[in-house]
Amino acid sequence: MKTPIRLQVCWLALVLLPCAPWAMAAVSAATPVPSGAGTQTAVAAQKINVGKDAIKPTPAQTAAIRHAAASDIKEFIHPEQGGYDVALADLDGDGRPDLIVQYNDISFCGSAGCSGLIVMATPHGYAGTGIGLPNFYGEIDVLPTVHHGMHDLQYNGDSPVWKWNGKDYAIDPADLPGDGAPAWQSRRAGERMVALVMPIDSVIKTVSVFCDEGRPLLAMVTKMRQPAGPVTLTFVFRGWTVNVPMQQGNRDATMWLADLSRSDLPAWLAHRGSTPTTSELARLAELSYLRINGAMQGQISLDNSTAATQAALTGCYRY
Amino acid sequence: MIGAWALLLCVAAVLFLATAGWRAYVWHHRGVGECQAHAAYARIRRDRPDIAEARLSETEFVRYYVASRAGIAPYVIALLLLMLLGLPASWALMAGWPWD
Repeated sequence: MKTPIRLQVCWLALVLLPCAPWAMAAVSAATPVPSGAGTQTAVAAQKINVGKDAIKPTPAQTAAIRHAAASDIKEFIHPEQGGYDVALADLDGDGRPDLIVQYNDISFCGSAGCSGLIVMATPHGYAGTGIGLPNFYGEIDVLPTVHHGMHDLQYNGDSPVWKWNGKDYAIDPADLPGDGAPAWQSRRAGERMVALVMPIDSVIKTVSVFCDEGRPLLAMVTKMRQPAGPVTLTFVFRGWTVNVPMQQGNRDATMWLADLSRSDLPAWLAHRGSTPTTSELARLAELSYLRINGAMQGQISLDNSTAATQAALTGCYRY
Repeated sequence: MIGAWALLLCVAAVLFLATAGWRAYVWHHRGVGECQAHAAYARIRRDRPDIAEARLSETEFVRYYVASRAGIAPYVIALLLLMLLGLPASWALMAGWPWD
């Protein structure tokens, strides 16, 4: 009777022991924290466009991304179709390209682009958890400066610099955007005065008004090309909408123009209205929400808009 | 006595195969091979640019480097064989076969 008991114990050991290294290795697959602290400077900067530089991920990379983004991927409408682009960049300078993943699923996109994550490549394989990325339009600059062992990042060429704090990428409090959008500015372009404003939380880079050959024009420059077809830019002033049909101004479909000769937009920007109701709304408006073909595209401030737009449109628009 | 030694041998072999199998798994499926391959490629290109591997493209080198190690299949097969044959054999030896 003794032999079977001994054998049972040995059998149990035989079954359980193979599991041990697998379990130990699974436990050790946590996110690696890059070593080193303080600020260093690396040699080269790298510009990455996740859309253009996208690679076809290997099975191991796909498995790592799906593991790191497990909770996010549950939200994908069509997870079997991927729903993300992957590019490579060595963020910690260890010679192993890390995975930069940007979702292209609508659930993860907004007016500021699409969010994503970084999956670090380590000597022990790809990390088990990802590092979150904010919404961006696909362009990441891996800057030469290094904090806590990781390169600084800048999105879309004009965002504040995101620095690694040992746990996450974050921007310095001093660089955090203020509550309000920037005010209108007057700029001189040759002999022409241009009133210009930069929207926040928007695909639109700038909105400007100016006179061109005696015509008042509105120009909209976008951060990414707009889909083919008619584009209508809508300004919402305290619930009152002003629609401006735009025409393509360049081959890249990133600049759009509109003739404001028959539009009442300049009056709204100058806090004026044609009826008591619109006059009151225009007077009270401090900002305007923007839409492109009905989709929300952030907001612009109306601070200094009266002076800037009237100076720009003097001589070509009758208020 | 010989049965107990056989059982111990089986346990040792199972341990070895499980560890090696796990290593093969993470090498191929968790990206260990890929991650090491990129670093190895950079090192070869820097230190020994004249050897054949350095003339491969990075993608080719990574594929070649990862494939240079066996996959998990041989380890799984060996483990199964050990479980199915080694254990009954050691059990039989412990029970006295073939002398009884």
